[in-house]
Order: sequence, then C-alpha cells, then structure tokens
Amino acid sequence: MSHEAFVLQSNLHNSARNPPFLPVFPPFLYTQKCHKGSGGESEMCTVGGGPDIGDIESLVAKDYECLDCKNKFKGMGRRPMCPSCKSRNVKAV
Amino acid sequence: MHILIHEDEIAYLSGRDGTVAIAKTKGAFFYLETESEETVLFTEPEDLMVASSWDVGERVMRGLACTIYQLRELGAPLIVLPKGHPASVRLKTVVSIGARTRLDCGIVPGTHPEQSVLCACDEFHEMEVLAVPGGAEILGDGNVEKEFNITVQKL
Repeated sequence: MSHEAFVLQSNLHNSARNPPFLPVFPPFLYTQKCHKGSGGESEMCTVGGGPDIGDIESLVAKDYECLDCKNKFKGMGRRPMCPSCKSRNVKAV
Repeated sequence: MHILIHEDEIAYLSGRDGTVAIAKTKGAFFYLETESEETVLFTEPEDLMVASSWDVGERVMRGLACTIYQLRELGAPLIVLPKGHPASVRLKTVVSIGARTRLDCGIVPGTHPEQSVLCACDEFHEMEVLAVPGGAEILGDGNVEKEFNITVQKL
C-alpha cells in the first residue's frame, strides 16, 4: 500500500468512526481548523492528515565547521556553537 | 500582558479547550532531525520554548513540562515527520522555539516558512508570545488575564 493510500485509509477510518454531523479530516483539504476527536481524544491541527510543521528544508541554515574539533554541522541562529565540543570557535563554510 | 518567567520555571496558559506552556530556552541549542539531515537550532538565553496541547488539566500540564524538559534539559532531538505521515495525527504536543511565536489554527501548507507559527486551539488564535527580558509578553485581542488561567511553576 502506498503512503498516500495509507493516509487516505486512515482518514476514511476517522470518517466511519465519527457521526455524520461532525467534521472529519478529508485528505484533500488544505486548511483545517483544530478540533477535538469524536471520542474526546486530543487531535492537533491537521492539514491533509497531519500537523503542518512547515518545510524544514527551506529553513535558512548554514553549514559550519568547528575550528577546534573539526566537526561539521548545519545550524541556524545568531550564536552558533559546535554541538559536539560546545566551542564557539566555528566558521560558516 | 507580561509574564515573569525565571529560567527554572514554566508558565501555563490554560483555557477552555487547550493549554500553552512557555519556558526560557536558557540559550540551549536544539537538534531538528529530518529523514535526511540534522540541523542545529541555536537560541538566545531569553528566547522561548512554547509548547501547545489540545487539552486541559494537570495531566496535560505535566505532559507539556515533560516535552520542554526533554528538549531543553536532556537535549532530546525534535523529530520532524514528513508531511502526511500517519503518526502526525497522534502527536499530543507541538513546539515552537525562538523569540516570537504566533499561535494559529488556520494553517495552510507552505505559507508559514517563518517557522514561528504554532498550532493551538481557537481560543489562542492570533495570540503572540514574545520573548522579553525576564519573561514573556503575550499579545492578543482579548483580555488574556481574564480569558486564561495563568500559572507559573518550577519546571
């Protein structure tokens, strides 16, 4: 089963569980208000099956190298620090 | 409205349907993990971690505290699920880290690359949480103090 098919099936399952007057999560919807699940369980905002956490690949991250331990890492923020040796002696590469 | 939050404290805004927890990052860094790569998010000491959950009560507050504790004190990585992943609907808390967080519930994919939008329930809609020296500034249309139960506890 493809991934998309699995998501669709998951939503159909929700649809079958919920009474018809309650909103369900149609997989084709792009804008969705948060609401409680039919059983009172918590459900976070969903956008086509899951919360939209944005496109992390589009974040403005830079490649860094630690000048002390030579560790290379990708980071974002104003005060980069080597996550390995905690040195601030790093440079963008 | 200003909320005083010390480094060892966590502030809760509890409404009718949801809870938002706020804590200082203490200048910690956080790992964001995708399927293909790792990005390290560096923060300023006054930046905030804002965690949101879709329920109220003691159980939820403990869960939010655990989330913040794991990320900040244990250095647990933030696992970023691919869009549409079936596990996404199982998440109980979502987290935003930075100097400014806007709470929103009408989210359109790809329209908030600023990464400062956090899913929350209707009553928190359009509320903003700003990092300020010594705590957080809560901006919103309504009267935050009247609409929410605000508590600050040791984390």
